Amino acid sequence: MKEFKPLILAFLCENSAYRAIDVACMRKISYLESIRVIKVPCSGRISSTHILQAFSNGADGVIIFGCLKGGCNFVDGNLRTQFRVKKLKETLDTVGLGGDRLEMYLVGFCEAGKILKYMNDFYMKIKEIGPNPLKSKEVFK
Amino acid sequence: MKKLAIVSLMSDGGCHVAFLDMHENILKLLQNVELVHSYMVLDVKRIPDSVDVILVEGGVRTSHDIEVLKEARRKAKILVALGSCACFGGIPGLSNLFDLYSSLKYVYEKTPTIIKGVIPRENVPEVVRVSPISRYVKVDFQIPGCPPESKEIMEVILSLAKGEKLTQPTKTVCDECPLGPPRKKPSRLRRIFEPPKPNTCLLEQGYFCMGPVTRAGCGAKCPRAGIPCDGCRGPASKVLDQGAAMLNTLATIAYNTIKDFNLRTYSVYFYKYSFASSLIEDLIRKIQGEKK
Repeated sequence: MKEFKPLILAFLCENSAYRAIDVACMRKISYLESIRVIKVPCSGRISSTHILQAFSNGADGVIIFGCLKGGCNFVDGNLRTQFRVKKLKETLDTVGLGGDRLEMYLVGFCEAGKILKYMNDFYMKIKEIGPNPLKSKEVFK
Repeated sequence: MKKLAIVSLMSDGGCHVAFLDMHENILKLLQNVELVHSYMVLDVKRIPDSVDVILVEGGVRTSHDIEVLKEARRKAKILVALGSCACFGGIPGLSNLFDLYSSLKYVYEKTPTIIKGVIPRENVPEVVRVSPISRYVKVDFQIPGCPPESKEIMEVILSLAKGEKLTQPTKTVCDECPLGPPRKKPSRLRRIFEPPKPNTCLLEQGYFCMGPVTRAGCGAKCPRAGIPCDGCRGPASKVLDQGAAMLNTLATIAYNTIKDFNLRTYSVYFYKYSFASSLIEDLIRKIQGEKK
Protein backbone atom coordinates (compact mmCIF):
# COMPACT_ATOMS: atom_id res chain seq x y z
CA MET A 1 0.00 0.00 0.00
CA LYS A 2 1.21 3.43 -0.90
CA GLU A 3 1.80 6.16 1.63
CA PHE A 4 -1.26 8.31 2.35
CA LYS A 5 -0.91 11.74 0.74
CA PRO A 6 -3.58 14.13 2.00
CA LEU A 7 -5.43 16.16 -0.62
CA ILE A 8 -5.78 19.67 0.73
CA LEU A 9 -7.81 22.49 -0.73
CA ALA A 10 -6.43 25.96 0.02
CA PHE A 11 -8.43 29.13 -0.53
CA LEU A 12 -6.11 32.13 -0.72
CA CYS A 13 -7.23 35.75 -0.60
CA GLU A 14 -6.04 37.64 -3.67
CA ASN A 15 -4.87 40.63 -1.64
CA SER A 16 -2.70 38.95 0.96
CA ALA A 17 -1.87 35.26 0.92
CA TYR A 18 -2.03 34.68 -2.83
CA ARG A 19 0.24 37.65 -3.46
CA ALA A 20 2.71 36.41 -0.87
CA ILE A 21 2.78 32.89 -2.33
CA ASP A 22 3.15 34.37 -5.83
CA VAL A 23 6.25 36.36 -4.84
CA ALA A 24 7.68 33.36 -3.00
CA CYS A 25 7.23 31.14 -6.03
CA MET A 26 8.99 33.69 -8.24
CA ARG A 27 11.99 33.20 -5.96
CA LYS A 28 11.70 29.45 -6.62
CA ILE A 29 10.48 28.58 -3.13
CA SER A 30 8.15 25.61 -3.58
CA TYR A 31 5.18 24.38 -1.55
CA LEU A 32 3.75 20.90 -1.17
CA GLU A 33 2.28 19.41 -4.34
CA SER A 34 -0.82 17.99 -2.70
CA ILE A 35 -2.07 21.43 -1.67
CA ARG A 36 -4.37 22.72 -4.39
CA VAL A 37 -4.58 26.50 -4.36
CA ILE A 38 -7.69 28.44 -5.36
CA LYS A 39 -7.50 32.21 -5.68
CA VAL A 40 -10.54 34.12 -4.37
CA PRO A 41 -11.19 37.86 -4.60
CA CYS A 42 -11.73 38.06 -0.84
CA SER A 43 -11.87 35.42 1.87
CA GLY A 44 -15.44 36.60 2.49
CA ARG A 45 -16.39 35.00 -0.83
CA ILE A 46 -16.04 31.51 0.62
CA SER A 47 -19.44 30.35 1.82
CA SER A 48 -20.24 27.45 4.09
CA THR A 49 -21.71 25.61 1.09
CA HIS A 50 -18.31 25.65 -0.66
CA ILE A 51 -16.59 24.12 2.37
CA LEU A 52 -19.24 21.43 2.91
CA GLN A 53 -19.13 20.50 -0.78
CA ALA A 54 -15.34 20.22 -0.68
CA PHE A 55 -15.59 17.65 2.11
CA SER A 56 -18.49 15.89 0.42
CA ASN A 57 -16.39 15.47 -2.74
CA GLY A 58 -13.46 13.97 -0.83
CA ALA A 59 -11.04 16.71 0.28
CA ASP A 60 -9.01 15.62 3.33
CA GLY A 61 -8.65 19.15 4.61
CA VAL A 62 -9.60 22.71 3.78
CA ILE A 63 -7.35 25.63 4.74
CA ILE A 64 -8.31 29.26 4.28
CA PHE A 65 -6.05 32.33 4.34
CA GLY A 66 -7.49 35.80 4.78
CA CYS A 67 -6.12 39.27 5.42
CA LEU A 68 -5.16 40.49 8.87
CA LYS A 69 -7.87 41.85 11.14
CA GLY A 70 -8.72 45.36 9.99
CA GLY A 71 -6.80 44.92 6.76
CA CYS A 72 -9.54 43.48 4.56
CA ASN A 73 -10.07 45.33 1.29
CA PHE A 74 -13.82 44.91 1.71
CA VAL A 75 -14.00 46.04 5.36
CA ASP A 76 -14.96 42.79 7.16
CA GLY A 77 -14.92 39.87 4.70
CA ASN A 78 -12.25 38.01 6.65
CA LEU A 79 -14.18 38.27 9.93
CA ARG A 80 -17.36 36.98 8.28
CA THR A 81 -15.59 33.90 7.02
CA GLN A 82 -13.95 33.43 10.41
CA PHE A 83 -17.45 33.26 11.91
CA ARG A 84 -18.57 30.72 9.31
CA VAL A 85 -15.48 28.59 9.87
CA LYS A 86 -15.98 28.66 13.65
CA LYS A 87 -19.57 27.43 13.30
CA LEU A 88 -18.71 24.85 10.65
CA LYS A 89 -15.92 23.41 12.82
CA GLU A 90 -18.53 22.69 15.52
CA THR A 91 -20.83 21.22 12.87
CA LEU A 92 -18.12 18.93 11.48
CA ASP A 93 -17.35 17.75 15.01
CA THR A 94 -21.02 16.84 15.53
CA VAL A 95 -21.26 15.10 12.17
CA GLY A 96 -18.21 12.97 12.88
CA LEU A 97 -15.73 14.28 10.32
CA GLY A 98 -13.68 16.24 12.85
CA GLY A 99 -13.43 20.00 13.00
CA ASP A 100 -9.62 19.78 12.81
CA ARG A 101 -9.89 19.22 9.08
CA LEU A 102 -10.87 22.85 8.62
CA GLU A 103 -8.59 25.75 9.54
CA MET A 104 -8.45 29.47 8.88
CA TYR A 105 -5.51 31.82 9.37
CA LEU A 106 -5.23 35.57 9.05
CA VAL A 107 -1.93 36.62 7.43
CA GLY A 108 -0.38 39.74 5.95
CA PHE A 109 0.78 40.04 2.34
CA CYS A 110 4.52 39.93 3.14
CA GLU A 111 4.43 36.81 5.34
CA ALA A 112 5.19 34.08 2.78
CA GLY A 113 7.34 32.12 5.25
CA LYS A 114 4.55 32.06 7.77
CA ILE A 115 2.02 30.85 5.18
CA LEU A 116 4.30 28.02 4.05
CA LYS A 117 4.87 27.03 7.68
CA TYR A 118 1.11 26.97 8.35
CA MET A 119 0.58 24.87 5.22
CA ASN A 120 3.27 22.37 6.25
CA ASP A 121 1.92 22.10 9.78
CA PHE A 122 -1.61 21.58 8.47
CA TYR A 123 -0.35 18.92 6.05
CA MET A 124 1.35 17.01 8.87
CA LYS A 125 -1.76 17.31 11.06
CA ILE A 126 -4.05 15.91 8.37
CA LYS A 127 -1.58 13.11 7.75
CA GLU A 128 -1.91 12.17 11.41
CA ILE A 129 -5.74 12.34 11.38
CA GLY A 130 -5.99 10.11 8.30
CA PRO A 131 -8.01 10.19 5.08
CA ASN A 132 -11.48 11.63 4.73
CA PRO A 133 -13.99 8.79 5.31
CA LEU A 134 -16.14 10.10 2.46
CA LYS A 135 -13.52 9.55 -0.17
CA SER A 136 -14.06 6.44 -2.27
CA LYS A 137 -11.27 3.93 -1.89
CA GLU A 138 -10.13 3.93 -5.51
CA VAL A 139 -8.99 7.52 -5.33
CA PHE A 140 -6.00 7.07 -3.02
CA LYS A 141 -4.89 3.55 -3.96
CA MET B 1 -61.32 12.22 -17.70
CA LYS B 2 -57.94 12.12 -15.99
CA LYS B 3 -57.53 10.00 -12.87
CA LEU B 4 -56.13 11.47 -9.64
CA ALA B 5 -54.94 9.63 -6.52
CA ILE B 6 -53.48 10.79 -3.21
CA VAL B 7 -51.07 8.44 -1.44
CA SER B 8 -50.08 8.99 2.16
CA LEU B 9 -46.74 7.96 3.71
CA MET B 10 -45.24 9.27 6.99
CA SER B 11 -47.48 12.28 7.57
CA ASP B 12 -50.12 13.80 9.79
CA GLY B 13 -52.66 14.26 7.00
CA GLY B 14 -52.33 18.04 7.00
CA CYS B 15 -51.57 18.20 3.29
CA HIS B 16 -54.64 16.05 2.64
CA VAL B 17 -56.74 18.54 4.60
CA ALA B 18 -55.14 21.38 2.63
CA PHE B 19 -56.29 19.61 -0.55
CA LEU B 20 -59.86 19.35 0.78
CA ASP B 21 -59.66 22.97 1.95
CA MET B 22 -60.54 24.20 -1.56
CA HIS B 23 -64.22 24.36 -0.53
CA GLU B 24 -66.52 24.82 -3.54
CA ASN B 25 -63.56 24.86 -5.93
CA ILE B 26 -63.35 21.10 -5.47
CA LEU B 27 -66.52 20.82 -7.62
CA LYS B 28 -64.74 22.70 -10.40
CA LEU B 29 -61.79 20.34 -9.99
CA LEU B 30 -63.97 17.21 -10.13
CA GLN B 31 -65.40 18.29 -13.48
CA ASN B 32 -61.91 17.81 -14.93
CA VAL B 33 -60.40 14.96 -12.90
CA GLU B 34 -61.70 11.83 -11.20
CA LEU B 35 -60.50 11.04 -7.68
CA VAL B 36 -59.78 7.29 -7.50
CA HIS B 37 -57.76 6.81 -4.29
CA SER B 38 -57.71 8.92 -1.15
CA TYR B 39 -57.89 7.54 2.37
CA MET B 40 -59.78 10.52 3.76
CA VAL B 41 -62.55 10.76 1.18
CA LEU B 42 -62.89 7.35 -0.48
CA ASP B 43 -62.95 3.80 0.81
CA VAL B 44 -60.47 2.34 -1.69
CA LYS B 45 -57.78 0.21 -0.08
CA ARG B 46 -55.38 -0.29 -2.98
CA ILE B 47 -53.99 2.14 -5.55
CA PRO B 48 -55.76 1.37 -8.86
CA ASP B 49 -53.62 0.54 -11.91
CA SER B 50 -52.57 3.30 -14.33
CA VAL B 51 -53.39 6.60 -12.62
CA ASP B 52 -52.57 9.83 -14.45
CA VAL B 53 -51.50 12.00 -11.52
CA ILE B 54 -50.50 10.74 -8.05
CA LEU B 55 -49.90 13.19 -5.24
CA VAL B 56 -47.60 11.73 -2.56
CA GLU B 57 -48.01 13.20 0.89
CA GLY B 58 -45.34 12.66 3.58
CA GLY B 59 -41.74 11.50 3.65
CA VAL B 60 -40.18 8.07 4.02
CA ARG B 61 -39.75 6.63 7.53
CA THR B 62 -40.29 2.86 7.31
CA SER B 63 -39.68 0.07 4.80
CA HIS B 64 -43.47 -0.01 4.28
CA ASP B 65 -43.32 3.58 3.04
CA ILE B 66 -40.66 2.62 0.49
CA GLU B 67 -42.85 -0.22 -0.84
CA VAL B 68 -45.93 1.99 -1.18
CA LEU B 69 -43.88 4.73 -2.80
CA LYS B 70 -42.39 2.38 -5.40
CA GLU B 71 -45.85 0.98 -6.16
CA ALA B 72 -47.15 4.52 -6.65
CA ARG B 73 -44.28 5.32 -9.01
CA ARG B 74 -45.01 2.19 -11.07
CA LYS B 75 -48.69 3.07 -11.42
CA ALA B 76 -48.38 6.82 -11.98
CA LYS B 77 -47.71 8.72 -15.17
CA ILE B 78 -46.92 11.89 -13.19
CA LEU B 79 -45.76 11.76 -9.55
CA VAL B 80 -46.07 14.97 -7.55
CA ALA B 81 -44.56 15.50 -4.09
CA LEU B 82 -47.14 17.29 -1.94
CA GLY B 83 -45.97 19.20 1.13
CA SER B 84 -42.62 19.79 2.80
CA CYS B 85 -42.24 16.26 4.19
CA ALA B 86 -42.40 14.74 0.71
CA CYS B 87 -40.20 17.43 -0.83
CA PHE B 88 -37.46 17.89 1.80
CA GLY B 89 -38.15 15.52 4.71
CA GLY B 90 -39.97 18.09 6.82
CA ILE B 91 -39.96 18.50 10.59
CA PRO B 92 -39.59 14.70 11.24
CA GLY B 93 -36.26 15.02 9.41
CA LEU B 94 -34.82 16.71 12.50
CA SER B 95 -34.81 13.30 14.19
CA ASN B 96 -31.88 12.44 11.90
CA LEU B 97 -29.76 14.55 14.25
CA PHE B 98 -29.88 11.62 16.68
CA ASP B 99 -29.14 8.01 15.89
CA LEU B 100 -32.03 5.67 15.22
CA TYR B 101 -31.73 3.47 18.30
CA SER B 102 -31.55 6.33 20.81
CA SER B 103 -34.63 8.03 19.34
CA LEU B 104 -36.61 4.75 19.40
CA LYS B 105 -35.49 4.19 22.99
CA TYR B 106 -36.60 7.68 23.95
CA VAL B 107 -40.02 7.36 22.31
CA TYR B 108 -40.88 3.89 23.65
CA GLU B 109 -39.02 3.73 26.97
CA LYS B 110 -37.97 7.09 28.36
CA THR B 111 -40.90 9.42 27.68
CA PRO B 112 -42.21 10.61 31.11
CA THR B 113 -45.73 9.23 30.58
CA ILE B 114 -44.54 5.66 29.87
CA ILE B 115 -44.25 2.91 32.47
CA LYS B 116 -42.26 -0.22 31.57
CA GLY B 117 -42.22 0.47 27.84
CA VAL B 118 -40.71 -1.90 25.28
CA ILE B 119 -39.54 -1.15 21.75
CA PRO B 120 -41.86 -3.16 19.44
CA ARG B 121 -39.86 -5.63 17.35
CA GLU B 122 -42.35 -8.23 16.00
CA ASN B 123 -44.53 -7.73 12.90
CA VAL B 124 -43.54 -4.08 12.43
CA PRO B 125 -41.84 -2.62 9.35
CA GLU B 126 -38.20 -1.68 9.70
CA VAL B 127 -37.51 1.94 10.64
CA VAL B 128 -35.06 3.85 8.41
CA ARG B 129 -33.64 7.38 8.48
CA VAL B 130 -36.18 10.03 7.45
CA SER B 131 -35.71 11.07 3.83
CA PRO B 132 -37.58 12.95 1.11
CA ILE B 133 -39.23 10.77 -1.52
CA SER B 134 -36.79 12.00 -4.17
CA ARG B 135 -34.08 9.78 -2.63
CA TYR B 136 -35.97 6.68 -3.79
CA VAL B 137 -37.99 7.58 -6.89
CA LYS B 138 -38.05 10.19 -9.63
CA VAL B 139 -40.33 13.13 -8.77
CA ASP B 140 -41.89 15.13 -11.58
CA PHE B 141 -43.05 18.17 -9.66
CA GLN B 142 -42.94 19.54 -6.13
CA ILE B 143 -45.62 21.47 -4.24
CA PRO B 144 -43.81 22.60 -1.08
CA GLY B 145 -45.34 24.27 1.96
CA CYS B 146 -46.41 23.23 5.43
CA PRO B 147 -49.29 22.96 4.62
CA PRO B 148 -49.26 23.78 0.87
CA GLU B 149 -51.60 26.49 -0.43
CA SER B 150 -54.94 25.00 -1.54
CA LYS B 151 -55.08 27.37 -4.51
CA GLU B 152 -51.66 26.23 -5.68
CA ILE B 153 -52.62 22.54 -5.41
CA MET B 154 -55.71 23.15 -7.55
CA GLU B 155 -53.79 25.10 -10.19
CA VAL B 156 -51.10 22.42 -10.39
CA ILE B 157 -53.63 19.58 -10.75
CA LEU B 158 -55.65 21.42 -13.40
CA SER B 159 -52.63 22.31 -15.50
CA LEU B 160 -51.18 18.79 -15.17
CA ALA B 161 -54.54 17.38 -16.31
CA LYS B 162 -54.44 19.66 -19.36
CA GLY B 163 -50.85 18.61 -20.07
CA GLU B 164 -49.24 22.02 -19.57
CA LYS B 165 -45.64 22.52 -18.47
CA LEU B 166 -45.09 23.87 -14.97
CA THR B 167 -42.30 26.00 -13.49
CA GLN B 168 -41.32 26.77 -9.92
CA PRO B 169 -41.13 30.39 -8.69
CA THR B 170 -37.53 31.65 -8.75
CA LYS B 171 -37.86 34.50 -6.24
CA THR B 172 -37.46 34.43 -2.47
CA VAL B 173 -39.91 35.30 0.30
CA CYS B 174 -38.05 38.63 0.83
CA ASP B 175 -39.07 39.68 -2.70
CA GLU B 176 -42.75 39.32 -1.76
CA CYS B 177 -42.45 40.73 1.76
CA PRO B 178 -43.69 44.30 2.23
CA LEU B 179 -41.37 44.92 5.22
CA GLY B 180 -38.47 45.30 2.82
CA PRO B 181 -34.84 44.17 2.93
CA PRO B 182 -32.79 44.76 6.12
CA ARG B 183 -31.22 48.22 6.14
CA LYS B 184 -28.97 47.93 9.20
CA LYS B 185 -27.32 45.18 11.23
CA PRO B 186 -29.22 43.66 14.19
CA SER B 187 -27.84 44.62 17.58
CA ARG B 188 -28.84 41.40 19.39
CA LEU B 189 -30.83 38.22 18.94
CA ARG B 190 -34.53 38.15 19.81
CA ARG B 191 -36.89 35.25 20.46
CA ILE B 192 -40.41 34.99 19.05
CA PHE B 193 -42.15 35.85 22.35
CA GLU B 194 -40.74 39.41 22.30
CA PRO B 195 -43.21 41.54 20.30
CA PRO B 196 -41.71 42.97 17.09
CA LYS B 197 -41.88 46.59 15.91
CA PRO B 198 -44.40 47.15 13.09
CA ASN B 199 -43.27 47.95 9.53
CA THR B 200 -39.64 47.01 10.16
CA CYS B 201 -37.75 44.08 8.68
CA LEU B 202 -37.71 41.21 11.17
CA LEU B 203 -34.13 40.24 10.33
CA GLU B 204 -33.05 43.81 11.03
CA GLN B 205 -34.64 43.58 14.49
CA GLY B 206 -32.76 40.36 15.27
CA TYR B 207 -35.32 37.60 14.67
CA PHE B 208 -34.36 34.46 12.76
CA CYS B 209 -36.32 35.12 9.60
CA MET B 210 -35.55 32.58 6.86
CA GLY B 211 -36.98 34.85 4.13
CA PRO B 212 -33.72 35.48 2.22
CA VAL B 213 -33.19 31.78 1.38
CA THR B 214 -36.77 30.46 1.11
CA ARG B 215 -38.70 29.93 -2.10
CA ALA B 216 -41.49 32.43 -2.82
CA GLY B 217 -45.11 31.60 -3.58
CA CYS B 218 -46.84 31.98 -0.24
CA GLY B 219 -47.16 35.77 -0.43
CA ALA B 220 -45.02 36.25 2.71
CA LYS B 221 -47.94 35.45 5.00
CA CYS B 222 -45.95 35.03 8.21
CA PRO B 223 -43.75 38.19 8.05
CA ARG B 224 -46.88 40.23 7.23
CA ALA B 225 -48.38 39.01 10.52
CA GLY B 226 -45.20 39.79 12.48
CA ILE B 227 -43.98 36.20 12.72
CA PRO B 228 -40.54 35.34 11.29
CA CYS B 229 -40.51 33.02 8.27
CA ASP B 230 -39.42 29.51 9.24
CA GLY B 231 -38.63 28.35 5.72
CA CYS B 232 -41.43 25.83 5.13
CA ARG B 233 -41.26 26.20 1.35
CA GLY B 234 -37.70 24.95 1.19
CA PRO B 235 -34.58 26.36 -0.48
CA ALA B 236 -34.98 28.96 -3.23
CA SER B 237 -34.06 28.03 -6.77
CA LYS B 238 -30.31 28.75 -6.71
CA VAL B 239 -29.80 27.78 -3.06
CA LEU B 240 -28.17 24.38 -2.60
CA ASP B 241 -28.59 24.01 1.15
CA GLN B 242 -31.05 26.16 3.07
CA GLY B 243 -29.33 26.17 6.46
CA ALA B 244 -25.83 26.76 5.11
CA ALA B 245 -27.12 29.63 3.00
CA MET B 246 -28.81 31.14 6.06
CA LEU B 247 -25.57 30.75 8.04
CA ASN B 248 -23.84 32.75 5.30
CA THR B 249 -26.49 35.43 5.49
CA LEU B 250 -26.20 35.67 9.26
CA ALA B 251 -22.41 35.71 9.09
CA THR B 252 -22.73 38.66 6.72
CA ILE B 253 -25.08 40.78 8.81
CA ALA B 254 -24.43 39.66 12.39
CA TYR B 255 -21.03 37.99 12.76
CA ASN B 256 -20.21 40.00 15.89
CA THR B 257 -23.56 39.74 17.68
CA ILE B 258 -24.20 35.98 17.52
CA LYS B 259 -22.08 34.02 19.94
CA ASP B 260 -23.18 30.62 21.18
CA PHE B 261 -24.58 28.07 18.72
CA ASN B 262 -23.93 24.56 17.61
CA LEU B 263 -25.62 22.22 15.15
CA ARG B 264 -28.18 20.96 17.65
CA THR B 265 -29.40 24.41 18.67
CA TYR B 266 -29.40 26.15 15.36
CA SER B 267 -30.69 23.25 13.30
CA VAL B 268 -34.17 23.97 14.64
CA TYR B 269 -34.03 27.47 13.19
CA PHE B 270 -31.99 26.87 10.06
CA TYR B 271 -33.05 23.38 9.02
CA LYS B 272 -36.58 23.19 10.42
CA TYR B 273 -37.97 21.60 7.24
CA SER B 274 -34.98 20.71 5.07
CA PHE B 275 -32.55 18.83 7.33
CA ALA B 276 -33.23 15.46 5.67
CA SER B 277 -32.16 16.83 2.28
CA SER B 278 -29.24 19.01 3.43
CA LEU B 279 -25.53 18.67 2.67
CA ILE B 280 -24.87 17.80 6.32
CA GLU B 281 -27.32 14.88 6.10
CA ASP B 282 -25.44 13.68 3.00
CA LEU B 283 -22.18 13.82 4.98
CA ILE B 284 -23.72 11.83 7.87
CA ARG B 285 -25.15 9.21 5.50
CA LYS B 286 -21.85 8.78 3.68
CA ILE B 287 -19.89 8.43 6.94
CA GLN B 288 -22.34 5.88 8.38
CA GLY B 289 -22.40 3.92 5.13
CA GLU B 290 -18.61 3.78 5.23
CA LYS B 291 -18.63 2.36 8.77
CA LYS B 292 -20.94 -0.51 7.80
